[in-house]
Amino acid sequence: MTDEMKPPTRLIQGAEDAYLRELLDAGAGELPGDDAMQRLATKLLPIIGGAGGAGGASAAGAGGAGAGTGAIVTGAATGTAGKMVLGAVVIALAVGVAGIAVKATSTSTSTSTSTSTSTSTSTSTTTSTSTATATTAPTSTAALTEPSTSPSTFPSPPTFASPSPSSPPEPEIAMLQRAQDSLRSNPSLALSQANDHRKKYPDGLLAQEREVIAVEALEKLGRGAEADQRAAAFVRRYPGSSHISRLSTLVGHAL
Amino acid sequence: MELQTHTTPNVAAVFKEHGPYVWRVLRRLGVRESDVEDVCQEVFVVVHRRLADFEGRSSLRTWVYGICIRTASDYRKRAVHRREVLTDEPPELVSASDPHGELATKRARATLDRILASLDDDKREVFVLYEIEGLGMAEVCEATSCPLQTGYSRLHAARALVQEAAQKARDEGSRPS
Repeated sequence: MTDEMKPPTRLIQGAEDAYLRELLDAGAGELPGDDAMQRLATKLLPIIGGAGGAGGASAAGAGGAGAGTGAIVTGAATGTAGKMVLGAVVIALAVGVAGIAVKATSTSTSTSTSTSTSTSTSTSTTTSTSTATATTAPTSTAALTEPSTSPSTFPSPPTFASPSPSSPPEPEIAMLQRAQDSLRSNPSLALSQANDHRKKYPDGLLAQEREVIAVEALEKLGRGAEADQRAAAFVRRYPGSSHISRLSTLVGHAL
Repeated sequence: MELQTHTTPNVAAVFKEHGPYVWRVLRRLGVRESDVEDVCQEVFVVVHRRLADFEGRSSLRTWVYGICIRTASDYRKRAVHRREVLTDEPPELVSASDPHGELATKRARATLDRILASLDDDKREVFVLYEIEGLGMAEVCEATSCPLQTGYSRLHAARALVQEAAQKARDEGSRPS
């Protein structure tokens, strides 16, 4: 190994330039406070869930009594192709969305036979508040510099007393939740809801998940050619997507 | 029974462990303070979407940083497209009413970000991951998808540029006005 290929002493640890070290210290010391992490945890509740998914229940508190409990099945625990239901987002969740509180209980189960099952019951209420618990346990710090604010104290249970109506993904998630819920009983409605999402959020964060729902709905409706077309368009647009294997299963051939 | 070679964590665990560092690295990669929550959110949507594909070939930390690199890059491109200037509001001048030096820290951070913004993306990413996030060079190169030798070249070049810019900033700061 040449000198050029040896890791140099980090500038933040070096003594030769105190001013630069001060700048780097300032940069390394900027970690979000508890309030910021709570806001973020609230925004991410549909993803990180109130229960944190398989294997994480101990670290992520379950929802309290009367609280919304979000569950996301990432499918990671099973390692099967079928885990990617709604891109593994089984949106069986209870989340305050844009000021609307939804109280729900949900259970999600991934199996080793490439299926995910989810039961979800949702009861809309007119209550304007909802609570859910997120994660709290401290974990390791991997960075060079210890955080000035310990991550051990976040995210504490986010509350939805004053949810931000401008949180962009929440309406997306709400729309897709409806579409996902409709898939089994009314694929025509699910397709319509997915298309509504496409109109409103053509390039939304959950655009890929929407397309998976739409393809599944088309298959269920017996519109295989359209499902094929939509799946092919998906592959062209997202060639590296992890949803492709799921879509291949849905359309019955490799994409 | 299938042997498990590694256990894939769930998104909540990733958020809990890496959330603060995702935030920090995004800031040093040019994401404005007012946007960082939204961009963090994007990162974790991607984490969620791709977590099942994580094969454990790299550390989870490296993998998450790789997502941050790409997400911040997309963010900067969007900002260029919108012709936005990616700088935060300059902090107020340091005053005697700042006993804890918070304004001084903010000013130092603003200076650092200005210097980092003067680097091209490749050098900036390597510099931030190595010098601020404390990754090893192998991890840096994995996260930035570049060969080790290229990573070292970028690091050396970035360090020289940063040191020169810091010297200049210090001289300007100490110049009597």
